[in-house]
Amino acid sequence: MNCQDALELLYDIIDKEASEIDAKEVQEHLVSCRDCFKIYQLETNVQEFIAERIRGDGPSPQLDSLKDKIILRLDNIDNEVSPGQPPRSFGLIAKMLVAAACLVILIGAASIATDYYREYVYYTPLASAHHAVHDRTWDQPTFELSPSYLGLDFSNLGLEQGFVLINSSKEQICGVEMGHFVFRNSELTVSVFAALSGEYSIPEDCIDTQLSLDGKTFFNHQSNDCWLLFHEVGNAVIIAASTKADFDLSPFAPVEKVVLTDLSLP
Amino acid sequence: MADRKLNNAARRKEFEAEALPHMDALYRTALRLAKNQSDAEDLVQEAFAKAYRFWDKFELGSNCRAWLFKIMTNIFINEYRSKARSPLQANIDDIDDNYLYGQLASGGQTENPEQTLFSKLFDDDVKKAIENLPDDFRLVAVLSFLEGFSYQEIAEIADLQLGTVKSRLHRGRKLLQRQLFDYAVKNGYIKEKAK
Repeated sequence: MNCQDALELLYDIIDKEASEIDAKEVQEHLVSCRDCFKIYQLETNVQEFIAERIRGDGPSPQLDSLKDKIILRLDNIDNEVSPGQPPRSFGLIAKMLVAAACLVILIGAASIATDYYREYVYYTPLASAHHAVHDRTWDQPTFELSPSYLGLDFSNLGLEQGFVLINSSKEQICGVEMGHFVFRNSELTVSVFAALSGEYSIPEDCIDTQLSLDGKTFFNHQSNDCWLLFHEVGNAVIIAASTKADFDLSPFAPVEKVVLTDLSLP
Repeated sequence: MADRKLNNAARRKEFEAEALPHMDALYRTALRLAKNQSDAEDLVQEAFAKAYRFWDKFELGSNCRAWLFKIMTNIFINEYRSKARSPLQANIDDIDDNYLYGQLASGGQTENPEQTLFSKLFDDDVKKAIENLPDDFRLVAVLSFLEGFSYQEIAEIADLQLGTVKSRLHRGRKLLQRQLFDYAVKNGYIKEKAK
C-alpha cells in the first residue's frame, strides 16, 4: 500500500468503516511511513477531541420537563377523536379544527416507507398553499387562467362569505401542473390549488381528520398556523388553505361544471 | 408490513418502554441541529408525537433508536432546515485534504502540535463551529460524531446515498477543521503558517 491509498482510507479507518483487510494494510503502511502515521495520529486526535467536546453537556436539567411535555402529547393523542366519524354538522369541523390546533399536529415525514422524492413531490404543494396565504400580499391581481379548470367552476367560491377571486394562474409545482386560485374578503385570504387526480394525491400522513358530507369526503390538516382542507372532486384534487383556525373551508370546494351538450338544431 | 392494531393501553405501554428511553439522545442531537433549546424541545416533542401515531407500523425488535432518529431528521429537514445557503458552503473545495495537518505540522517544534490547539479551545468554540456548518453537513456530522451511527445507518436515517453521506461527512470535517484553526489563529492561540 502506498501513501495515497493509505490516506484515502483515513476517514474510513477513523469511523471504523474500513474492511478488516484494508485496516490491516493501512496498519502495516503506518509502521513504515512516518508522514502518514503523523497525519493519522493528528486526525484521530482531532476526531476524538471534537466528538468529546460536542458530547460534553452531561444530562440536561430540561430533560424532566421535556419528558412531562411529551407524556402530555401522548395523552392528547390517546384522547383524540378517531378519524372517520361522521360529524353532525359542519360546526363540528370548526371545533375539530380548533382541537387540531391545540394538539399541534404537524406535517412531517414520518411515514417510514416514504422516500425523499415522494416527500418532495407531495409536501411542496402544501407548503406552497401555506406560503400563498401566509406570506404573499397579492397586491397585483393576475388572471391568467380561466376559472373553469379541470371541468370545475372556480369563479364563485366563497361568494356568500364575501370572497372575490383575486388571482388565477398556472403553477408548476414539482413538475405537477396546478391551477392556483386565490380569493380574498375583507379579513382573510384563501388559496385553492387544483391538480389532476393522477398527478397528485393526498399524502396519507397529512390527514388529521376525515369527514363525509353530502357524499363528499373532506380531509383536514393543520401545519404551522396554516389550515388545509383536501378533497377530490371529478378528476381533480383540491387543496384549500387559510390561516384562520376556526374558518370553515368547505365553501371552497368547487362543483363540477354542467357540460352543455350540443343543443344546436339539425 | 401490516399495522399491528394495538389498543391504546398496549400501544402506550410499548411506546413508553421502547421509544421514550431514547429521549436524551434525541434531545442531544436536536440541540445541535436546531441550535437553540426551545426549537430543540419542539423538535423532540414533534418527533415523539409522530412516532406515537405511527407506532403500530414500527416493527418490534428492529432498531428503534434509528427509527426515531429518522422521524426526527425528516421533521428537521422539512420544517427547520434553513433555506438560505450558508456562507461557508461556497469555499469548501478550496480547503485541502489534511488541512489541519498542513497548517500545524509546519511549525515542527512540538511532537503533537494539535494538543496545543485543543488545550486552548473551549467547548463553546467547538459547538459554535459545528453550528456554523451548513445544515446538510451538520446533520451527517452530528449523526456520526455525536451518535456514532454508521454510514449505512445515516444513509437510511437521512434518505441519502452512501456516497453522499461519505462526501458530506468528509466536507463537513474539512470545514470544521478550517473553522477551529481560524478561530485559534484569530484568538492568538497559534500562529498561522507563513505563506
